[in-house]
Amino acid sequence: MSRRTLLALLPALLVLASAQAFAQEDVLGSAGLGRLVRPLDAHARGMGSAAVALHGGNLSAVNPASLARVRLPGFWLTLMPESRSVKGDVLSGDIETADFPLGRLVIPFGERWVVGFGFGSFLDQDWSVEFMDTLRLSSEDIPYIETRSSDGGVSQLRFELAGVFSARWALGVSGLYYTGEVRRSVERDFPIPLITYRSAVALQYQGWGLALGAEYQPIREMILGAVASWGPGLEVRNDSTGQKLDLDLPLGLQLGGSWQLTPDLTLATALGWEGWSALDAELPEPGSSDVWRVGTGVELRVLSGPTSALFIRLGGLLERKPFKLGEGAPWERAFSLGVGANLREGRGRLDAAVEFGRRADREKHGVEESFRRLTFSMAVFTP
Amino acid sequence: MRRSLGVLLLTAGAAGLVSCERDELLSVEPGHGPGRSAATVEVVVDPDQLEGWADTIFSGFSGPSSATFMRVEDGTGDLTGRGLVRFSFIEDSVFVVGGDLSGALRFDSARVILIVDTLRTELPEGGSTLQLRAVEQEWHNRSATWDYAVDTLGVREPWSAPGGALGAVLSEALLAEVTDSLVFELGELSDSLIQLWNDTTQVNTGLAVVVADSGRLALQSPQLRYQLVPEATPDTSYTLSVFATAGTFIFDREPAALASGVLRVGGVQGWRTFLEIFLPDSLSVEGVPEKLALRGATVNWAEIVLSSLGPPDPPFAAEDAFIIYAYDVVDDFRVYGPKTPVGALVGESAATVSPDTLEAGETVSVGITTRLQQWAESSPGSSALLRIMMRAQPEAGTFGFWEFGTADGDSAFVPRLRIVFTPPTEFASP
Repeated sequence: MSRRTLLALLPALLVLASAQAFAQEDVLGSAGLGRLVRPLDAHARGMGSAAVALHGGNLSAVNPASLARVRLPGFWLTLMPESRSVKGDVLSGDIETADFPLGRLVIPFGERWVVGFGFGSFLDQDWSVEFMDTLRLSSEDIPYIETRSSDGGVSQLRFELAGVFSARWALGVSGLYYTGEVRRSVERDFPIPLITYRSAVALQYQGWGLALGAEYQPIREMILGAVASWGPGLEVRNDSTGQKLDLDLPLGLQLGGSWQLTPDLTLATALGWEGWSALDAELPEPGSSDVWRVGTGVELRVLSGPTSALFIRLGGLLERKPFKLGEGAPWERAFSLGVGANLREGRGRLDAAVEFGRRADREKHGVEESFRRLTFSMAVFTP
Repeated sequence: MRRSLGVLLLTAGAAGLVSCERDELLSVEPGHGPGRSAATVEVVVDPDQLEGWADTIFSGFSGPSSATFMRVEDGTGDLTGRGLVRFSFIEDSVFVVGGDLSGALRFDSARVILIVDTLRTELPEGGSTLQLRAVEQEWHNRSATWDYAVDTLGVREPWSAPGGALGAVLSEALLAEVTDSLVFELGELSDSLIQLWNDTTQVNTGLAVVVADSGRLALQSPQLRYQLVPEATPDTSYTLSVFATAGTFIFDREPAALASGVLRVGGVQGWRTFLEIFLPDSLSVEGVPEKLALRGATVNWAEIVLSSLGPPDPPFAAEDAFIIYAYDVVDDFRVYGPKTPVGALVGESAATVSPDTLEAGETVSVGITTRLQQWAESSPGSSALLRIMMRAQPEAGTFGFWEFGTADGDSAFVPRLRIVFTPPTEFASP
């Protein structure tokens, strides 16, 4: 695949970037700014979302320095369907969703540089609830069905540059452009002859951010990584009223490492912190708190051929979500299994992961959900 | 390279299709779901709560000639009413396929048939005798009244005797009980009468249907049925029929002069009620501290609630149920009076007036939701006026009308505006 062909894929990437903004539903996403979704691929998902530093090609859009290890022009895409079962004091139901959390295009140039463009998930605010109630009028009681919906979210477009500065150091930088629209609506459906009530508003999101990443490889079997990200602000504009609101984007710090214990066994782990509590005063009650995250996983090469290899993965993730619900911010706990294949001397990669987990606690947050999240990634590289 | 690209795009397309397969709706307990929505509220507004409310009535939009019935009555103490009918252009030839019809034709066995509205007909014990009588004076179908044969703007011609200048009795029928039809046989007079009505050089003064003793009848669709007989073949006859070319009825009483505090709808004279309501942009709602914006809101339901004053005095109380419809009014009825231009029908306005159950104080609600929604969708600061006209549909479907209270009348019977509306939801940002 030539560089020209890869550039021709840019419009497709943009279309997918706009599509992914309305592809996730989560009642937990109704809290704060929605549901924080990281732009990870199936490789990282299978290893407990430890995506700061990984052996074997780290294609997740977390550490821009990881791009420096890509030596061939390539394109990759991730699809993430998820099934959720929501149980709460006042709501319940099953949800099927699908999302494109990541798409990326990279082109190496010169001896040590790689330029990239990608889109990724950031904040998803897709949710819908429905309930029946009764309107009490002086003459009679009128039953009605009300549907409240939020469609859309905020995506990130990434303009990336990475370089290898020595045999041990790689550095990268990502310019992040946050954009998206959320359409909130309510519909109250009365029986005839009463007229159905509909009201809606569109919120436009726009902002800039920056991510700096580094990878240090003290020995061939070990990669250490660090990422810092920050944004000057996220502007929220109400299309109906013209009202604007500027929100601070939090500082985020992530550390991670990948250690090839044997040629066939790799261990990876990552820690993360994001200072979302800075928005606590700017968001409606109950506000926000800092994100804490720890993920770890192992990868075992089970088959190895002259041009191909097959891996299985196992991981776990513990993450505190940024936006509070009920008595505090909910936690997500997930256990993951993954499988991956390198094909044709690394010109193609197929990865898949399945995670089983829970979010929130019904006693504290009034709602909890169990989920099964599938992640599929496909990458194509060409000399 | 092309194969790789093709596989990638195919996969992306398939993934896109998968992503469209979503089932996202969660059920939630009322009032506890995430998100916001404005409350739907109900207000019942009295005229004195608004900055302005004007109402008035006009009549004359219909008359006996446009009524769907003729009221023929006598001896009841309420009213004397007589039907007037005219038959013209009566067919006097027959086309016979393959036959040979020659020579003069004769009208034979003619009869006038009227359909009896059994629900609105009351006969005394023993029945009523009805007469078909000649009218001896020319009359104008649309303006004839009890006192005047012609009563138009330019011409006013009284009857030689009030009540229709009745002439000879042409036929008589006893209606012993209420049946579907009333038939007057013209017998030997058939040929001469029809020849006379068909003679364009003579004035056709028509017929009158009268009650000879006592009774009240509502009659419809006067029809002349006759046989055409060739003189050359008197054993052969052809039965033909024709409907009346003019029909009306006259009666000896008019509704009492209007007193203030009365709205009227319906009746043979087509009473119409006109309202002008000055609506504020926002309304006070019980239990809500601040006024709620009506302008910009969704009007879920709106109606004018008319309060019945009870049955009007006989014979002007509607004798049967009728339906009220509301129309938009496009100009000031205080300037243009009965000629005020009327706009579109308000679709959901149909309200039934049922005389049997509409006692004093009972209400009739006329829906005006779409009209008020139009008002609510107009920009703030635009016209605050809502003008509505209410009429019976069809007009002159009943002889009597119904009366309701006005804004400046007895406070127990004032009309009201009832609105169920939902202001726009104030969504949270973010």
